[in-house]
Amino acid sequence: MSKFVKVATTDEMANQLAKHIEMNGEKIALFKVGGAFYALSDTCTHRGGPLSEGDVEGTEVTCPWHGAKFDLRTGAVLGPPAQTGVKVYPVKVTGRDIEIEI
Amino acid sequence: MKSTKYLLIGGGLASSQAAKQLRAHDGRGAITLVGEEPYVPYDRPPLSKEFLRGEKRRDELYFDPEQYFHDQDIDLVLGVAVQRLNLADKTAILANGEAMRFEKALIATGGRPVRLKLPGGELPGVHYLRTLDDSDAIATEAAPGKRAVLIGGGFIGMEVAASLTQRGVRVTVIEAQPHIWARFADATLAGFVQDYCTQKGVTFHTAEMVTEIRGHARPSSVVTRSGKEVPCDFVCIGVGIVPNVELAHAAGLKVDNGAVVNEYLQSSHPDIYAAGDVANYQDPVFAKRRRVEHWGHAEYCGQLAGQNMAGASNAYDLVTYVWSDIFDLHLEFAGDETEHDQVLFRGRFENRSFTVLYLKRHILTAYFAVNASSKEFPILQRLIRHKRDLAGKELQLQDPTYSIKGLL
Repeated sequence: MSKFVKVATTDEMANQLAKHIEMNGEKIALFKVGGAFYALSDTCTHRGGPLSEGDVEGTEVTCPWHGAKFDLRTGAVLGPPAQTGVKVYPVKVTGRDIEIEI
Repeated sequence: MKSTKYLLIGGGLASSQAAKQLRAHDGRGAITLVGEEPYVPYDRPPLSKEFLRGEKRRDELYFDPEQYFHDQDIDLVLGVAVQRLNLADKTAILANGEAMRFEKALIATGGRPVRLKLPGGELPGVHYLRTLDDSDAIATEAAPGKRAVLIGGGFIGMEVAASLTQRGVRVTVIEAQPHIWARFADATLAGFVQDYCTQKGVTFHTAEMVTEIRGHARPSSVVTRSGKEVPCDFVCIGVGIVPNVELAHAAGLKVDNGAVVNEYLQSSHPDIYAAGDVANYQDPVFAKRRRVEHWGHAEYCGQLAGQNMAGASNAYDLVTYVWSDIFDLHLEFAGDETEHDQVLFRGRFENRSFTVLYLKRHILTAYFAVNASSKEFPILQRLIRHKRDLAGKELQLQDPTYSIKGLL
């Protein structure tokens, strides 16, 4: 059964745009764009690069290793060399708590 | 006679990527992929790592299951080499005697390991690593407590050394140069990796040539020029590859350290393309001809060739990169290390997290990152691509707290 789990607080994310999280053996990247939060697998489907260390423009993240681009909202591939999308996790903000469904 | 619109020669990454691009850009043209190995295209990097360590299964290496090719209407001819290309009537003769007419062809025949001519070099138990079957054969030998001698301390050699050590094999690396990775790394970086592997249990003999592999039915020891005799149960040789240019050469295509192609990956015949390890291409970033044996280059070339064979005119535009995993060191490398007159270190060796920067005339030509945060990679790649003059910035480049974004 998946459930929402607290992974960060809005205070903690006040000064950062991305955070790497490990939860149940899964590596997850949490991004903040404007006031919105997005959670994706932190393992690029190309060769495993950490998306949480990538550049974000709008709602597009570029993998720092080899440049694959993904949509933060859907996990879909927006640019090569990756060919398959990454998993996205639903995010919920309750008060100051940022929770993702895992 | 059979016929196809697109003939992809070679069953590796480049061909597989070309097939996908061809199908994406030409929904109907017949595509035939001919591979010498009996397997659908598979991923080679795990052969020296996860697959060799038993962490990945065979079916996890295939880029796509066989069904995918049926679904995409891509004909696979596996376990068969292309023997000859006749450019006058655009036909290929396969090793099984079949002839096939084509409109456009891609030569993605890759390379094969350089074989050392040594006494004992053909004994069973002396391995080279290129294919799935090669890796399988080495894995079968890799029982805990066995002793392996690895001849050649290159990328693959060090990956195999680490993987075998992780499987409990006692590994000795013999390298002809004064340090490992002599072809692409400076002595300090190579020394760091060598020291790290030594701590993990690997033994090194550098500046040593192997003169003989001793043994009757199987190897029992390896003898070096200086007279050392290293006992062993099996041997792996990794001293580089040679490009498989014979087909291109016999067809009359221009060959010079690989099949010579232009920026669109077209050979000296406009309907024949080449990609991957076998291609000698014009690199726009470094403004020179190169032949690159890296995965990312093969992937990129395959895609580019597929697009161009289907009618596009996309020019090569990649800052070449490669990665390696040795024990828990993750290495990311990009650029052209052969062009440098200065080496700078960013970060600290003792933290096991640093980036080595190679510069030539104050322009960054390559970087080699060891367990480093990847946040800086895109910036470093842009510094390489845009040839930023970094004269006078040496101190900043060596200071990991300095944001190099400002140098763009």
